[in-house]
Amino acid sequence: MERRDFFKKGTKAAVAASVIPMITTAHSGPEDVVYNRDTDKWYHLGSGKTGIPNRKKTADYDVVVIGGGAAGISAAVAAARNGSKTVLVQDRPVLGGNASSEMRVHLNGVNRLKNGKAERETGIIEEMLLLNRFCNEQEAYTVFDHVLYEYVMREPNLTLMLNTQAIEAVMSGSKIKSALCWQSTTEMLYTLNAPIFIDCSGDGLLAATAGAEYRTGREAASEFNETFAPEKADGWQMGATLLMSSKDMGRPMKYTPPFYAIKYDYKIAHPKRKIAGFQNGIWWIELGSDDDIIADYEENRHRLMGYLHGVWDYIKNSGEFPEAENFALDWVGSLPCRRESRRFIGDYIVSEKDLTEYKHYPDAVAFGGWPIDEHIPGGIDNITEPPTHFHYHFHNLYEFPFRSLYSKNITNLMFAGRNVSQTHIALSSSRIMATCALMGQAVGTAAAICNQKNTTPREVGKKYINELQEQLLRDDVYIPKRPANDPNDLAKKASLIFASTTSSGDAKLLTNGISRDINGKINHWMSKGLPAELQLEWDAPTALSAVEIKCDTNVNRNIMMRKDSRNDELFTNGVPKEMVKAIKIEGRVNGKWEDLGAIDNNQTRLIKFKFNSSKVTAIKIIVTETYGANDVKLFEIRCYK
Amino acid sequence: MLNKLHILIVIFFLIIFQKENHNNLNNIEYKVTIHHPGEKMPIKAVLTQVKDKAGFTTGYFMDVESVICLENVCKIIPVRLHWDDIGNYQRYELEELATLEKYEADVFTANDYKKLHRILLNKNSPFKEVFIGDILTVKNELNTNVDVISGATALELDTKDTVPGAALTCFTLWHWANGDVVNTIQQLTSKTASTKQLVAYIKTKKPTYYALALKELTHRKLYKKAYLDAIFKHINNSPAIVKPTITYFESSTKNGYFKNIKKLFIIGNSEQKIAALKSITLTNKQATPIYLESISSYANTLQTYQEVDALINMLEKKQYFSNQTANNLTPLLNGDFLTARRVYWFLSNKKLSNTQKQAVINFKKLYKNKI
Repeated sequence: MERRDFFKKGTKAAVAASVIPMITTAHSGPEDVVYNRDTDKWYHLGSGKTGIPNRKKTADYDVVVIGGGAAGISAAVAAARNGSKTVLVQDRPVLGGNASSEMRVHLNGVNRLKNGKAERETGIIEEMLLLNRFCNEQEAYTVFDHVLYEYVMREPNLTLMLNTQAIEAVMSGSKIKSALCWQSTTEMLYTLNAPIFIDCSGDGLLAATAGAEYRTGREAASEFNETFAPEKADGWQMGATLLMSSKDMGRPMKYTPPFYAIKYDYKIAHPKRKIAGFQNGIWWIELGSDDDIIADYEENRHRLMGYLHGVWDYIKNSGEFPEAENFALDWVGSLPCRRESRRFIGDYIVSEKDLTEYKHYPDAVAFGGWPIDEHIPGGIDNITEPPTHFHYHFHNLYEFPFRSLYSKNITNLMFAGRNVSQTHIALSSSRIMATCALMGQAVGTAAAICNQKNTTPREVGKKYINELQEQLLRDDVYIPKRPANDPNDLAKKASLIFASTTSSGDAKLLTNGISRDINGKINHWMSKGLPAELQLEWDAPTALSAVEIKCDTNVNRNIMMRKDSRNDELFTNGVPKEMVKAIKIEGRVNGKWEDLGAIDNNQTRLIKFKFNSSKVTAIKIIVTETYGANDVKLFEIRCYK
Repeated sequence: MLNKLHILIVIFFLIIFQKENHNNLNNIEYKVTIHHPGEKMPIKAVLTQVKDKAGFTTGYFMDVESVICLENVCKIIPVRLHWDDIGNYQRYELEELATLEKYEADVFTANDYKKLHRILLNKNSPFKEVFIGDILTVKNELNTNVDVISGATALELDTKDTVPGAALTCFTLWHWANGDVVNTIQQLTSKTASTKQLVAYIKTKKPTYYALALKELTHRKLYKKAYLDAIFKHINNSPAIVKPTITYFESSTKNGYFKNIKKLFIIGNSEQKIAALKSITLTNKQATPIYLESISSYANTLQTYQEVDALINMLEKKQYFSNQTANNLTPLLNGDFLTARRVYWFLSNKKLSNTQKQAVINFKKLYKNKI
């Protein structure tokens, strides 16, 4: 069968490009690539029959998410929870992207603003990181993979496809009709049909084959009036890093470098290329490209492996680091952690000044705050230079608009992660994984709205942005300068809200729509001791079936797993002690208090109670235990019909 | 000019230093162990309690080192810190001719000394929140804050909040002046205070003194009229801290407890009334029906829903009800709706007189859609 015939029969739609990696011979060209199993000669000893294995499947979803990193997981979970039947397609055997055990980058976010404090992301990304604290006390990266696996697999409306790469878009005009995906472990070609596609894969192959406009390289300073951009545009894309880790074996350990090691020339190395902390890897072992960074990946990987062993040889055998005598490599990466490649064009391109001037957008859906941290051209090839330039440290959170998260020219395509619509300089800050995860939750939620309203992402931005923001806020995303005001929230309609004790804040603040203390303003209620009670009173009986509470997890202290297991005022290596552990709610029905629900081992900041609809004149929230704090602090109470 | 001024300040400090060190025979020295966030292990130090001729504690002082130095490259100067009797930092002193140093061996200017004093006075200084790791990270190590392995960035404080070039000294001294030692001082002051002094503390109307005195009275189990008069006078004149008052009453005898908690309920503000009612609700001490009824007789004086709710919760918990209680509560059916509804539910399943019953029925008819 000719390739053209296959698509005609299989999908009756046009294909944007010819990239399916199928059987080829030494002398064939792309025109010979065919997905054709007619010649398969399978003799099945069990059945005694000869046949052709089924290697093609088609499935229909409401949303297809490509890429299983922090952004993709967030997008897929958000879409599924908001009612869309969703599939998450991940090309690796594990979830987590750069943070997975295959790469082991710290899942950073707004780790620290200029005031010295973190302003951590909440919502789906926080749920994942908290689950890891409950299930992975030993802080093992391979266990983290499984924590994420559990987190995704437990979503009832979500299908996960591992070892599956989206390789080509099937188009219908400016709309993606299907994603062709190759699952390497089953030799299966999947055709995934959906009205909405989200590319969170970083490199964005599906989006590129769909014909979505994109750019690579560095913008000229003049294009967006950027201070830190080069005068002239160029093709440079920041490098990918290859990490390693080592272990103190308790006795002297020898090291012999492999033949491909590239000798580390420490004499000319810039002093900022620090070796201190080598036990946990050296982040500046990185290589980028000023041309086609995706095409260069395998060549760069080989050279990075050479550099990695060259640096380790220097640490072990130069005599400069006697403290390394007992150390041996216990893990070496083989998959460089990518920072930059394609950036797709949306209706808005976020640039440096948007960040540094804290631009406020009516369609803000995410935030960031990692410094503008531009790794230098050349990477480790440019060893005489410092490895990165921290151009700018942020005082506050900057906003990210929804218009940068969907394609300008492909009508049903959204993005989240490093491939969104932004300049190279903006990417230097926003590429950080927890920031990408916030974008993911935003586009996943937007995808569900697209399906509910039968519309496009652009129209969501124009007509339903308030609905999108309200849903994100309800789902525990923080959007700077955008307090929640959900008309369906019945807690706002209570006549009276009061607490048994108060040590700081005020019970009335729990319905003000701002779910964290921010910019020096208190938005919480905190008890004086435990147990503590809150009571909401309505004038008339009010039908309720859901109560949602946001508790304190200390967003000023980072909770992601680190190789050094740092545990101090800025980082924790355990469950935040402020979190609510045991909580119950009661409703007053006909003057009598009735139990509506109880949770004994809460694991989330957003605590949800669902119960059979009950007409109450009051509810009582009783917190009996935290994970260590003497007082309980809450940020929000919502009630729904 | 500045150098001259600096010398004057040092001389001034020295004079005070010598005077206090040698002339005050009432001073008492305590060996204390203090945790400093810049030190891995707790530090042993000598804290001196300064007393006047009448034996009243007037303050404390302690000699500390000017800077925590991890790499033995800093110049360490002994610094004497002074506090008042409840641990509020007052001033610092240096030894004769001693000078504090900044980065690269610059010495403090006269303005730097004044600024350091202002920093130590500020209980909410940014140094409260920062970590020693931030202070020790110098500018050329900025780049450790990278995405792959995140380290510390150099601390960037507003110049008004620090002495530029001496952040480590500011950090070290701020935590000495405002850290663990404050609790130690308060404990020593209360432990060594005479009963006369404790009464004086209550009369100051300052929350810290009040809490400290009540805690000590509770500990010593002192319930004489003089103390109680001072406490109730304090409650009358200013919003008192509730918890130490309740704890104090709860630690007394049964009769004393019921008498005083009732008085607190009657004369206290809303928060105190609710706290008193909750205390009666939860106490294991057996209240008599007459006592509970007398509490309920104040129902018409209660101003908020929360107060009435606390009163009814108490009656429900004690399983107490009488015709007189109903009489006390029935008038509230005509008041604020939420409060009235709370009373309605309490009364609706009780055995009532005809008049009371009619009041409940009327309420039900009037608000049939809201109950």
